[in-house]
Amino acid sequence: MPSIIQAIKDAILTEISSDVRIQDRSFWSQLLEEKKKDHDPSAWSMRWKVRTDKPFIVTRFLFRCLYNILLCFIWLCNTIYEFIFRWFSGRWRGYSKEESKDIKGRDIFKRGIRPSAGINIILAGVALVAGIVAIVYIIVFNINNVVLAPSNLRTNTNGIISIDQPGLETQHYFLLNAANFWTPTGIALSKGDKVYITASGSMYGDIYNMDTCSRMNKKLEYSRSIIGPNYLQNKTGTLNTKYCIYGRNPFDKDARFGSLLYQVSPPIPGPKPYNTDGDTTIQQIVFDTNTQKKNDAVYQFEVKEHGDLYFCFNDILLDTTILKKLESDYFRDTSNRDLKKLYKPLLECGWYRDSLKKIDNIAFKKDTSSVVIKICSYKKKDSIQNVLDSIRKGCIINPLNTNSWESTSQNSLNIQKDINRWLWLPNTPVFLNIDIDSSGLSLLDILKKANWVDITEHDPTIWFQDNIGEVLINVRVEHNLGHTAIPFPKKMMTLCYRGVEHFRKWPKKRHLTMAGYMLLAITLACLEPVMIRGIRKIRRRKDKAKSSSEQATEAL
Amino acid sequence: MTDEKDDRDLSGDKTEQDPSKGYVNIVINKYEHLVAALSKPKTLVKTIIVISTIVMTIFVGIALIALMLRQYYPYNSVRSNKYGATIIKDEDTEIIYWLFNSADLWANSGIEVKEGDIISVRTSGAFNTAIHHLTDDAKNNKPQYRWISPTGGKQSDETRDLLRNKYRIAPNEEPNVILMQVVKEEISKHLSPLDPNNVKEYAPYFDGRSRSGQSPEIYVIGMEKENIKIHQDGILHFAVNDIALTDAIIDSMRGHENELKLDSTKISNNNKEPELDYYEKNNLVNAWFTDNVGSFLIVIERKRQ
Repeated sequence: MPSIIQAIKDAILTEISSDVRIQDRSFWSQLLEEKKKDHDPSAWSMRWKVRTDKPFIVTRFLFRCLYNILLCFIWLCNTIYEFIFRWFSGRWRGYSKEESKDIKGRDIFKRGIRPSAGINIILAGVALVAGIVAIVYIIVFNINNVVLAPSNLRTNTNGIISIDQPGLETQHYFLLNAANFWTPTGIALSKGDKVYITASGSMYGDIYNMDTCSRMNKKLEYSRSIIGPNYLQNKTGTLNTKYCIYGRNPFDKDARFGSLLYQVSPPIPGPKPYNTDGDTTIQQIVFDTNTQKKNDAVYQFEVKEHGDLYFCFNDILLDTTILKKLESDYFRDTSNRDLKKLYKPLLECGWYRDSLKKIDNIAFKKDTSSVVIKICSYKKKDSIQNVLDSIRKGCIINPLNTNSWESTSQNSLNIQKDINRWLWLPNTPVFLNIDIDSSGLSLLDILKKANWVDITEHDPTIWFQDNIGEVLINVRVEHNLGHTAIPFPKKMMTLCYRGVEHFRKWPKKRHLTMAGYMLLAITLACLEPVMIRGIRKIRRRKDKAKSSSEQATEAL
Repeated sequence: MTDEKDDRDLSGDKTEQDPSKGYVNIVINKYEHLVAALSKPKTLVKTIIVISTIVMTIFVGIALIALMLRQYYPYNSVRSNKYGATIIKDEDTEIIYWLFNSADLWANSGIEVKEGDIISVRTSGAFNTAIHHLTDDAKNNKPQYRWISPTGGKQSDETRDLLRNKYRIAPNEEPNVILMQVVKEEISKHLSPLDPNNVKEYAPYFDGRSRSGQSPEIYVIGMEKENIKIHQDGILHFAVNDIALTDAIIDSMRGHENELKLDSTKISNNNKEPELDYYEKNNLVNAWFTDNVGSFLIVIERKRQ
């Protein structure tokens, strides 16, 4: 500046009689000047057109979109400022009320909002400050929440160990015994949480079989459920799974006996309900045996509803529905050895056996769903009467001839008469043909009704008690950021961190492939001007050759 | 707008204006182009895009640096592998724990080790070598067959058990002690006792006897084994020191059935066949493992290098 002023001084002749004033205007004075100045009306025009003769059309279109969005934002800020100014001053910036035309005679109201340098510099300043704040926050976040992330090591009443990890993740560990039915973990999950599960250990679903085979040095009848990628399907396959917790519903796919099951459901006090028919919340964990990833968990799912996490092994739950299914399947085909193997132990169970003391024999008829009970009349007369009274309420009873399996009477009065007659005769067996399907009752229900069962309520989880083994389960939960009560900036940072973490966990091959593509893209972008120049040169030569040939033709 | 401060004459002194004279006012607008550029929205858009790009780049860079710091200087780093082993790291040490069921023969932990690693292994838990013995004891209310700790030991005083010791995986070591094997990754996936082809092809890795160019690297762990130096890259497998019934072991047992108390007329599957023939025919290499009951928690400590 001093050199400019000196130059002006030197240029001015001393003979000039007038005074000379030099004004060196400051930046702010120029910025805040309200001048009648023309501005380019196309300043706010959005650019949507993308030249198709250049490469990376989609990328350039996306950048155009970003440009237009930012332009809209800046226009909005300028418009707000313009209207505030007009509100207080009663005029447009740089124009008086009387002057409705600009220098070139155009109506100023048609020319739209004039971009303000002052507003723009304020916006640039705000962006710069926001950038600096963001950088500082990023550094603080990475130090506090990534490098030095606190573990918040804790346990809960269910014996679960929980450790927090960076990126709003929590690792949980606990031991699951195979004999437990729906073990609560106390791990609260929200909708949208991602859960990753691994496990170690193994179990066997039939201790009696294990004991028997061990005595005889025989091969085990079923495969051990080795939890983890070496999991193998139970040898008997579909039969057991048809009655299992997972497998009893038609939509249960690839059910396996002894597999690990999970359920996310609202926490309830006491044991979980037994009936699982139609329950779609129960899912089976099948570990991916083909995974190439060494360090990642092999089973993952996204939580669909809020709730607590429960685990269980896939075994047969002896609720009323399954009992009835077992009975009716068995009665339909008593030659089915597998069914017999399942049902026979049931009959030998404590509560059946005790009640069966009052029954001489159970013979099975080869029709759809009947069971015949032979009751010896030399047992207590009144107990038989109770049986008949109770059973009559829900079943069709057809007393039978001892020599024939055909029913003799359908009428209830006749039944009463026949039974009364039989009760007359001591040591005469009574055959009752009980139709189970239509009664809606299982044999156990019938016996219960007849007060022949000593215990009032059988334990449906009795077939879990013969499971032997335990499994150490690791659960990693990636919490849904939308349901966490943390500030928005921290949520954004966590989301970005997770993206970086996932990127880092990619296999090396994928990293190299991506680097290769980026290198190719950069190379093409750098070579683009060269390629375009080359193409233009070729076109010019062609045009030249064409025009010279045309000229030569014309000359001829 | 004029700046009266800058009013000066050619000599640089302030003068009062003489109304009878005119004056030349020279205005220097050196920031005109800058202000004009700032007036254009395009400039601001570019500025915002540049600032955003710088912030995102810095974020990605710092996040990657933080992750690398966690990898080399871990603080509260916990993860698990697909076999359920949990790995906890800090700056100096890595601790891994994993549940091992005694009924599994050479159970795969998925824990990778490299040549030169120095690890310490500790175990806790107990197991019983035969469930039917356990149930018999329970019925008779007469405990005869002891629960075995990780250090191993004989379960009973029967002579049969002493004679069987030479067929165990580690015949010169305590019976039923916990063993560890480092298996190369390419062999590890074949170390399943349920595939008969694998059992025949990789028999030395099952029964612990080196042959056919295959030498298993087996370590005796017991309750604790410190500073084990690993001699090859591989994956850790665990088993208790019992008898793996490979063809070679079965062949060596033949002729000694009586002293080993093996049934030569065992009824199995309704066919009378000798016990050893039954095992060989059905490839039951882990037959004497499947009746084991109980699990061990294996904890491995590795110093980070």
